[in-house]
Amino acid sequence: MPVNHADFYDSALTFVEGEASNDSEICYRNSGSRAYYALYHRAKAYLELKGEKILKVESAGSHEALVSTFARRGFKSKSFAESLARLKRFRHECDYNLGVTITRPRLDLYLAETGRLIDMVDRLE
Amino acid sequence: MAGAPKTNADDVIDRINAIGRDVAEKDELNIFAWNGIVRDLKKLESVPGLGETALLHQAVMWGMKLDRSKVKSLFAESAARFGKTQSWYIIRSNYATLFGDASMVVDLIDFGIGNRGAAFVAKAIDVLVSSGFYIAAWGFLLDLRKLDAKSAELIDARYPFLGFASDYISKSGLSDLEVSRRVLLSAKVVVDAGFRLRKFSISAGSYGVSVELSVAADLDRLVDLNFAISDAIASSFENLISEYVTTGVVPWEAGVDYAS
Repeated sequence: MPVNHADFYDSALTFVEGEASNDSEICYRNSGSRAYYALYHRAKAYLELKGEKILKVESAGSHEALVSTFARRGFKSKSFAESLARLKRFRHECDYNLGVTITRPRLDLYLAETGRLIDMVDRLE
Repeated sequence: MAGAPKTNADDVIDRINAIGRDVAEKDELNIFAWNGIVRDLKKLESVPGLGETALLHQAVMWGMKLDRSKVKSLFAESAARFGKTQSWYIIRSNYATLFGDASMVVDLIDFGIGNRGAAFVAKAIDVLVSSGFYIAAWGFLLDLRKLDAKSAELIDARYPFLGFASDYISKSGLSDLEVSRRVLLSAKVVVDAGFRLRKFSISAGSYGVSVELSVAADLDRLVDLNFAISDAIASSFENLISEYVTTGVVPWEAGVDYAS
């Protein structure tokens, strides 16, 4: 596999940390978007490794299907699904809603939350 | 004048507004000023015509300290002594976020909003928006445009997302109550953790509605709060509605408004 979820997360960080970073809202938006995909791919890979089928949701895409699949597992997975959906919505704001301000403190929160959720995936029942 | 309050009701209310602004904008509660105001409100209780105001505003003061028990008992005492008045309903409904209790807003709606004048409707819209009753809030805003166009313009500017959010939630087959219960549960989680709710930021688009509560806390604590909110929603509701509406906390940032 050429890339994995960690590459997405590293990419998220490079927008706001390190030599090539830029302290600008467009970098915050790109960072927030990549961070969500890191979590999405980590969660998807976890279900695939477990051999669990991702349940399709009527009139919704693969991302909602992933949320919905976790929501139908145990309590911790259901809670994880709620968090995943919250980060998915933040990703949508980063990519689509130019009327909303994405600030550095807000991005830092979502980066920290994404990092902890990625670490949590293996402990989901 | 021996035994009479040193200040009149208007002066006390001005001081309450000032201390409330400090709490909202700086997360600072000046205990010395707080004690002085509560002392003066207690004196006003016995002044003819000011008893209800004194009790309801004591509830406001204890609300600043997040003391649910005192707030509840003061509203109960006011209802017992002066009845459930227009002031009682509107002030009490502001504390739905403190208690995480949507019924306090439902009580206001059942009491009646639209026929009580533009100022009351405008105040009620603020309560409805902060409690997640977006469909109702939008309906009353449409009414307010006929009652007082200027006041409606101000609310339009404050809540630019309202029309879209109302339409989106309605088309998604959700009720105000379903949304409100999740918003208020999230608020309760924050208050239970000892934090004041500073501001509600709402954004809405074809991707759904995002309700974010601004909280002055460090990053790790905010992540903990978001996890606690997810846990509370997962354990309290059979079905998630996160496909349409999500709630969470964000860092408090002075002067930043996420609403869109």
